[in-house]
Amino acid sequence: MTIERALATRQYDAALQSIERQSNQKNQRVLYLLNKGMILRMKRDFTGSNLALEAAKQEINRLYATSIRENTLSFVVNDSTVSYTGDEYEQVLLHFYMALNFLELGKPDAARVEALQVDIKLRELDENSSSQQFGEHALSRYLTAMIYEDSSEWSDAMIAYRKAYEEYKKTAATPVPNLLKQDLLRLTQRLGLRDEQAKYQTEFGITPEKISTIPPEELPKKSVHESKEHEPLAIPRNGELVFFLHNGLAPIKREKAVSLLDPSSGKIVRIALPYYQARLNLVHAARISVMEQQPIPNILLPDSINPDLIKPGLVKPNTSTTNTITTEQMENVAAVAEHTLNARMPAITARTLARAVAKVHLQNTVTKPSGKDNDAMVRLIGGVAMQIASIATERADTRSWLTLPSNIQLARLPLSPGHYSVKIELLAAGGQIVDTREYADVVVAPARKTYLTEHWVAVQPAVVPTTTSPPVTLFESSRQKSAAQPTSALPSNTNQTVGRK
Amino acid sequence: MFKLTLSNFKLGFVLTMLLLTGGCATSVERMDAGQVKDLSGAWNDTDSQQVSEEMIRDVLSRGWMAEFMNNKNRQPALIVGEVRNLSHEHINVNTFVADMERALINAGKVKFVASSTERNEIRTERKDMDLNASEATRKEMGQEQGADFMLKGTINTIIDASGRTQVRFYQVDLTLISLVDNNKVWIGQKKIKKLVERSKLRF
Repeated sequence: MTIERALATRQYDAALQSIERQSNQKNQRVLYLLNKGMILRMKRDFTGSNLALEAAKQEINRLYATSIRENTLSFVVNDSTVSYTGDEYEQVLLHFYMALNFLELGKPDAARVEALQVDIKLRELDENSSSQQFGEHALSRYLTAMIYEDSSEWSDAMIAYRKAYEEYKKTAATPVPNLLKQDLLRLTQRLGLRDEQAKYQTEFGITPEKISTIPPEELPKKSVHESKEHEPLAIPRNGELVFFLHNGLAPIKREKAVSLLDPSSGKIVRIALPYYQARLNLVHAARISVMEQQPIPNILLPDSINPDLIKPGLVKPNTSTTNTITTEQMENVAAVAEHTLNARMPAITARTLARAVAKVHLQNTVTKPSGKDNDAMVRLIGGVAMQIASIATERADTRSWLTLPSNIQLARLPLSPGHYSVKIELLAAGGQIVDTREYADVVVAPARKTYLTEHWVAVQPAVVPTTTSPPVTLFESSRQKSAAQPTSALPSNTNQTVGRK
Repeated sequence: MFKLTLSNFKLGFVLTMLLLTGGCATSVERMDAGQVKDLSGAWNDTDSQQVSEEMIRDVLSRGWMAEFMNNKNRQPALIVGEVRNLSHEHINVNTFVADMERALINAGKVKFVASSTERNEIRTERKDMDLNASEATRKEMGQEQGADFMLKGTINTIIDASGRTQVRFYQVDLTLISLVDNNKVWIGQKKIKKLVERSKLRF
């Protein structure tokens, strides 16, 4: 069973078993740990997931120094010989997922540690002017802001929201989420940043009357803390349910190879480059329905609300307080992945071409007759062996964190403290329900955020087994011709690069 | 005379390989608990020990204890509250808090009562005694000693990094707060600064 299928059918133990094979490949240890952490958190084993992700973090730290041996090897063999340390966005998402694990475990301080590590990491990346900027860290910034806000660190939260906003403005893949707009307006109000608030109001086209921490339709009908002097902009004493939908699976890297005849030496040169292929996803958004299970304890109810409720005999579970909200896309991981690869393509291509030249040169040295009376047969066999070896070893580096979602969506719902049952309906683009998930007992604490996440994976269409015969013709041998839905941008890009040669 | 013949070369090659593979076996070396060994630059045992030493020295030498003894004519009772980790690392704060507890109790200067996490188990046991223990050995409920002060604290870090170099600054603050009137009777502080350089190349 493939990992994808195991994940789609929620057989997480089977998925864990199938990735165990990667565990002893030394240069893919980070990848193995990342995948393991991700599958464990799908299994809702957040502690185990954090152990794996922390190990991945340590390994990435260890691999910070450039290996002389691996890089020399990568020049003669291929890029996959270098230990995988993850793309920058993957390294940041590692902290993001660890923070989420801690939040779901109800350890906000530990999550705050991860938030600070995100800050340090992003500062380090900012300093590297070579790193590409296309708003790939917006959601991580946003999560750190939520964590700071939850620990009542308003100014830190404001700075993080502001940085998230700047990141969102850099990318076209994800528009500035409405949630973030409301957050910016709420916090500028709280901190008394009138000018900045006015600026955001004009930018977002939101009039001051519309600013509200709780949209009126979502306002719990018997909220405990709704007093008469309630200001629309006050931070609610209510709890909040924060729901993350990790939707689908990130695109998968494939290889596109061409074999060309070098006219000067008569040698066949193979050039293999990676491209991203999207994976099937049916879900467009999720609708969360929250129903309160028990009435709020009588002591907490102000007398004015409903005198009937005060009498213990009359208290009934109130089914009318069903709150519904739909998720909003916060990060398009698939787009980020493709952007990252596009940005690195020139470097990858240059390395691949340099390697092709080196391999031809190496073959020439073997086949060149030396002064001594060497057996011509030996030279011929050596030359052919070299040629086969150089073609066979030329492979694109197709490693990436495959268990990442294709996109990440978020819904925030203010709720009065209590026990809730949560129903998650996964909706297709047309609004049809694809699947539902239910959580029977979600406890919302007062004045805190309660986190809930769900990773939904579609059953992938069967892929025809791929052939890996060594190419000996001048024609393109795309190994993944039969696979479904190649992404539009990258294959054409690879063609161009090859054509330029 | 030494000549680089083929056999010599082979011998050299084998020796080099032996040298290279020599590092593969696990080696264990016993160390003194006080010995300083910094590996990654992250918070480690040495930091924890430095913090506890400084804090113990400070808390025992200040006037709050004598003042309490004069007023109440008994030893103060302390309870360990939360030491919040606001740093950028996952730090185990239990080590130096336990060090402090041990040093203070052993010095005979203060009493510690069980913290909120510890006492639940004790209470369950006492409840169980009520049913199962003999009359003579049964411990009654409602006899717990209330604490006079709560020990609380924070760990903060400031990181300054450029390229491979990082300056890590840790500040640990511990406070004793009077449970009667919220007065802070003692504040201990320990600052630790480290310069961490990451290596550029590995084999």
